[in-house]
Amino acid sequence: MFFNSLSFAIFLPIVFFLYWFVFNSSKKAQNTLLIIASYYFYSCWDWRFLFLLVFSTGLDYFTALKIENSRSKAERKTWFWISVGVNLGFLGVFKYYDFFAVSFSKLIEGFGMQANPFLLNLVLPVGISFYTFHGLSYIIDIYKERIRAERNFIDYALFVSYFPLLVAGPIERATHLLPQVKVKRSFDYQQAKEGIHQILWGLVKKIVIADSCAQYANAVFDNYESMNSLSLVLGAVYFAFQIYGDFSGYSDIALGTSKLFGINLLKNFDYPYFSRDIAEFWRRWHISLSSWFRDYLYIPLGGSQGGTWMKIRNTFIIFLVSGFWHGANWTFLAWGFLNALYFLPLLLSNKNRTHTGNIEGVSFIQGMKLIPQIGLTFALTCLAWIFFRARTITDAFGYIKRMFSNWQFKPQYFNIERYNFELVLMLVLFVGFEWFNRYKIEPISGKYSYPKICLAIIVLLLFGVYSEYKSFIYFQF
Amino acid sequence: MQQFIRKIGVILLTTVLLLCLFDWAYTEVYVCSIPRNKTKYVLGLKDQKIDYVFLGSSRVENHIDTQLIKTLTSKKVLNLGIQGAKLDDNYLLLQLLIHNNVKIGKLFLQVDYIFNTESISTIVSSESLPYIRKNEIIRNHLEKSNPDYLAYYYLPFYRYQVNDYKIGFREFFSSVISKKSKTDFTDGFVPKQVKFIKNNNFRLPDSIIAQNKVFNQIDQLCKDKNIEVIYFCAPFCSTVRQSDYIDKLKRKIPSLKDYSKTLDDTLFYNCGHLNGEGAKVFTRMLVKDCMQHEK
Repeated sequence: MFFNSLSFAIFLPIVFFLYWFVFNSSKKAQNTLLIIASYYFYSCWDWRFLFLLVFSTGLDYFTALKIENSRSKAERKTWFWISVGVNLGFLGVFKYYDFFAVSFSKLIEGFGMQANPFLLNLVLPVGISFYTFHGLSYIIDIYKERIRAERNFIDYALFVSYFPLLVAGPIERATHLLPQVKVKRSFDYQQAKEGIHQILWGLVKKIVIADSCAQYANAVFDNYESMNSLSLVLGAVYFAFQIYGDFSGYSDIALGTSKLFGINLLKNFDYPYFSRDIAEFWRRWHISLSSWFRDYLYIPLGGSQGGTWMKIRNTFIIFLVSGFWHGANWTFLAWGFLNALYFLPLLLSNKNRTHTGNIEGVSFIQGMKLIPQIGLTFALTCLAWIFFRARTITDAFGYIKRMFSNWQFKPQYFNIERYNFELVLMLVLFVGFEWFNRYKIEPISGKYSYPKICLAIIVLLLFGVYSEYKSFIYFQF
Repeated sequence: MQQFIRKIGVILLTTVLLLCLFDWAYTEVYVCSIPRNKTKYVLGLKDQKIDYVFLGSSRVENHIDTQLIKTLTSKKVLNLGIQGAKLDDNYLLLQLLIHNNVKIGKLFLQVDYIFNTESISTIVSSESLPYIRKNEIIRNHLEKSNPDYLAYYYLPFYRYQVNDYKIGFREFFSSVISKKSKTDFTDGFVPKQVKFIKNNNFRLPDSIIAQNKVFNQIDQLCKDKNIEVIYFCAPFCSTVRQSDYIDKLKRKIPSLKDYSKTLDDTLFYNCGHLNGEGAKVFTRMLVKDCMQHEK
């Protein structure tokens, strides 16, 4: 059940009605309904994986209590590593086993030996990377005594399985979400209105921007050997907007949906393509994952403290792990590696926190400085996205090589019967619209909200892509 | 909560009104526009005689050089091959031609692996959707063949959204500004570039279905309307010739004229499509075999 599907359009109003009109007597009733709805939502993909989700929830709930009640440090450590081991074990088996088996056999073959790897060929349970990280953050926080273990199983289960964030985040923290699910929610018109606006804007990003860009990006990436430099540059730009529209659109719908139930989720995107350097980009892109890695990996490793080599080591670890989190493929590792290379000069020159605030009112002189900064950051990001999108490392290098060697910039007609430049105007308008609303969570709220709603609906109806159903990219992670 | 429900109501009402408005505007534009696809062109053909009509997929559109046939035979020829078309598309076009009182001297239908496909195609049915409420033939055809018929017919704007690739905003805008199609529909021939692109992945099916319902309907319609029909299979490149699929097809259609193994690889654009030169050679073969005596 995708957020942009008819089934979700039926599911959401039903749950909303039951939540506010039938199960509104107590927090327990509200949470029980949301748990049932969440498990139904998840089972719509594959009901068999529901057992995995319930098991993972039960394990973390139980081990968290055991950690907290441990009488010795050793016992505490044992329960902690059981939980971490089982959680990462599931992730490893479902997501990474085949990759390692194939890579190892290729390595063996490289030495002239015969290898016939045993592959599991398992279907990846949707959202496993997200709910595993949910559980891990909770367990680590308990172990580090930052929070108390949750005694109420329903409240904890809702924290892990809450349907708006279940399959593609944002990756919530117990300190943020649990206090909200532990109290009875009452209806707040302003919050619900914002939620509707955010859902609408998320749909525009997904159905209009991401899905339109996907058609063009696919046409370029799947046939890059016959593309000229202009098409290849545009292909990378189209993919940059495809993944942004897709994932930030999904996050907007998730956050908006959650607001309808009186629960605020963590912000996941903050206009990342207006970043002035890569460090700022990573503070604005997939914020919940970046901050997860910062808090649970980078800082425990020593962060930016210590010597130069430690900083370099930690930077590469965090970006490589982040890349690998996205998928078991060398392309994701290369993407992470490239981002580490981008980030390192800023870190070593202590400029990684130069741009932390919003871009305030811009004068002409400031604009002249901003444009190259934003442009360069966007170009570097697009270059990295090529690795993220390419099927193999060879394809990625082939794509980049051709982009810088073909040197032809004529309009090209794709096999999808579209010219390469056709989407540029739409993207320019989209960027402009986002630029002028960059201080807001979504651009619809505020003055003239009704005309803006009408405009969003018109854009959705006229420019949305409905013919070829596409799921959200981040569901595969 | 009341305020919220009112807001949702206003949004839903706005959406429904916009859907109705867009549905009306799109339909009017498509009905009044110049032909931008072969379906619309066929809808405009009325009360005339065409000596040779070719139906099929891109293996007709790219292969049948209509101008050459006109030069060689001095007859009126129409190439109605459409890229990606299936027998279902061909059947609908044939029905429209007959309905519009177009007399067909001889019908040429290209049949190959598409014989294995009975399912509906999105090509002609998509292009015909703007006329679903105005054309009886289209309505009847889609009612029988398309599982989404009721939604297409009754839900405003649904047909344009679901088929946006063919009849969405891009096509609507091109129709509004009367942008001419690259294809000359009076001719219908679209030659491929000269370059041969290896297409080693292309394979003919291993097995053949017992019978094709749509093929039988076309055959029956031609018999009923006394239309002489020639079934033929256009050439394939050498890498797919090992397959015995075409032999199986010939057993299903004994009158099938098999050209699948007739041309050299140098005359191909890819394994299933001839280049411009190949199309000329193949067209001459067809003229010699099927039209020469009528000159």
